[in-house]
Amino acid sequence: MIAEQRDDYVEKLRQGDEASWTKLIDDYRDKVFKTALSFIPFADEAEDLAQEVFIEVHKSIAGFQGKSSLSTWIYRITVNKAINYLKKNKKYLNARPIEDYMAIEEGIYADTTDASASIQQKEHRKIISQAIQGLPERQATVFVMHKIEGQSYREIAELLNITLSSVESLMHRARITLQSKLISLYKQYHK
Amino acid sequence: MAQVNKFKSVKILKSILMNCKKTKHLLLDYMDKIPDQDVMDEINSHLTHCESCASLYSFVSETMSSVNAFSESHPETSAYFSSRTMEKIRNSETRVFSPWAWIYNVLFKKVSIITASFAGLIAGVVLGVLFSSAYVQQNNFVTVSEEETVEEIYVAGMSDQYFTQFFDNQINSTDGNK
Repeated sequence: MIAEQRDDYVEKLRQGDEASWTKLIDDYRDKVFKTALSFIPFADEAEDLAQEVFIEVHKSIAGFQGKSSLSTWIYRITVNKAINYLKKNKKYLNARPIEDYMAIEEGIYADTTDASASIQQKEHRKIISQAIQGLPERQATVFVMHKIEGQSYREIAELLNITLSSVESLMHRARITLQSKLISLYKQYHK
Repeated sequence: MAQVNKFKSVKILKSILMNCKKTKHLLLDYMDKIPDQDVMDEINSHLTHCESCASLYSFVSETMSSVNAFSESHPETSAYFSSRTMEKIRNSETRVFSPWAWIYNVLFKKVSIITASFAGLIAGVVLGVLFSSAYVQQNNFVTVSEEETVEEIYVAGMSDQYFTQFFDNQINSTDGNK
């Protein structure tokens, strides 16, 4: 989208043009949902969070100055909301049963029939989610953004407003911490 | 001879333990093929001989593979996501600021514990004052002796009722003497 078109589009959003808002939601819904799911492995919670993101975007669009792209801005809001959600609901999320975890194939194929593979996926999802939740907040954020969201170190640095070397250092520490978390989870699961 | 064998066994055991420790520290790096080739070969060789490290590696690699699989997936929101979100946005637009709602929110949602403690404290003070005054009234702690003069009774802070009663007693006793 070229700059003029983008400005027009943002202006329409500011004016509350319903067609523009519907287009925005349709364009970003799956991306926002996937980011939410990267942090929160439950489809219902992740979808609720995605809705909250759009409501927040709607509330804050008047203050959007266009310094970053619209997608970067929405992504930043999503990450912030997801981190806050995790902080507030850590205990509740850890208490959820294994069936509630979203298996990866559920997001790709609606008609998956392999129940045992699905359970295994859910278990893996639970383990990795527990390991990520055990990381310090900044390490967890950088890890999820890089390993799950596929953002480059440079993109993460811009999004989080930190230096490239900080991202590298956080990622390095995240890997070390995650490794020891996985080892202790292995011990728990194989008692 | 036995001591030499013991020394050798300890050395072998130590090398196995060291390898396990080293392998555990390099599991994620090994998965992503980060170390040099000789280190990769060393870990590879260790994993083929050490059952517990192989099992741990399988656990870690399966878990991490699920991360990779998720990163390549394209999960979709439910069918009515857009319409439901638009409805929520419309609702949030029409929500008018209400001071009562704000007070309710602050008092009962945001600071409910502080509010409850504060209310408890106030209630305690009020009840304390009420009970103590009722108790004082009931037991009439202030006694009046017959020698006290009218001025002294007022100074003692007697109510009019007690003053009248005292005055009547004074008159009656004087009449009796006569």
